[in-house]
Amino acid sequence: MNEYILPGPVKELFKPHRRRRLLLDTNVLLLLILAKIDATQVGRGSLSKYEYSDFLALHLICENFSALLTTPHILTEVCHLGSKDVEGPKRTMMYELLQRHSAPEQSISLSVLGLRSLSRVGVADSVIEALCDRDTLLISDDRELCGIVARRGNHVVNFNHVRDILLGS
Amino acid sequence: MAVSKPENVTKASERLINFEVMVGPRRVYVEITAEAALDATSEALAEERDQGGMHKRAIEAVASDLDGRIRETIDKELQQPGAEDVGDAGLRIHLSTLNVPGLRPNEAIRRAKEIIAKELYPDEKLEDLRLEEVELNDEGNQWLITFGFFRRRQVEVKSLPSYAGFGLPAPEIEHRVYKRLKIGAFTGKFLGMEMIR
Repeated sequence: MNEYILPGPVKELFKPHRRRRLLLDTNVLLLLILAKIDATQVGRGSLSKYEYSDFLALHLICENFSALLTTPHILTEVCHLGSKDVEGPKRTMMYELLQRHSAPEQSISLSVLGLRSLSRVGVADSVIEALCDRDTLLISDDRELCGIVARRGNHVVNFNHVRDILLGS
Repeated sequence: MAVSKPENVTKASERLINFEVMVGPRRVYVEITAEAALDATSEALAEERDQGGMHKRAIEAVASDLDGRIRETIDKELQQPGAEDVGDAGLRIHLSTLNVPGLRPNEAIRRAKEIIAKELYPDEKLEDLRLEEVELNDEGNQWLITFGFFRRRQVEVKSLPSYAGFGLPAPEIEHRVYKRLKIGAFTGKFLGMEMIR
């Protein structure tokens, strides 16, 4: 894993964000956690759309950030999806890794979220949208959520743009 | 629909195993990786490893695991334009593993990018063409690959006199468009494109 080197354009993409807190959306966090437990999960089940190189890149990207952030909604979704893919000791490892990963959990009361946002993108994404600020970078592969966060002037990287660079490099 | 026991089992290479099953009246050719066979039958293999029956048992176990999937796949694939007929109403299906369809994600992305740039918009330079979304549909038989790119569009300005009257070109606005391509997960065939918001 250590021999893998991030392509220059990917490093450049994240350079301006190093001091920010990193918030990983559900699918991306799931990739990071499950692939660490069992690399053969990549390309199957919940991770059917990813390649192992995506995991390696994500792993190295995350190492550049010291402050991580998550939400109870993201953790719940990751546990739900991950439990379908791994069982027994691997499932226990998933919880261990999530415990280690989950730096400060933050959430926002539903009562302060806009009804429009809730009905459009649901609870988990509305909370993400509300938590994203000038000091936070969101990595997601949900095009719609990326658009919403970017339109509010906050920092977001669509993980598919990273994949695009990896494919071209 | 009844699915027969595997017939004509052959090893295409060290990694690939081919076999045929009858699904109702239809003969289906299946290609799987040896790893998938081993994975599906690890318990059975533990008993039979030393008795020379490993290979046959592995294939039978995989075939019975795949029965439902084969039926569904045939029904869906037959509805697709250009399903690959291989004679006698047979249909070739490649299943590279038990859980993942034939085309790997990166293969599907590369294929979709080639189609959008070279076949769908050969005369247009797609500005800032980027991969935006990758999904495998719920049935597991189509990759849905979304790209975004910028396009310029001429707009009509109604509050001002005709631009043409001043010899000026109509003003343009730049907007990002998103196109979702459907790629057959087993065949790699282009199945359609839709514009999404």
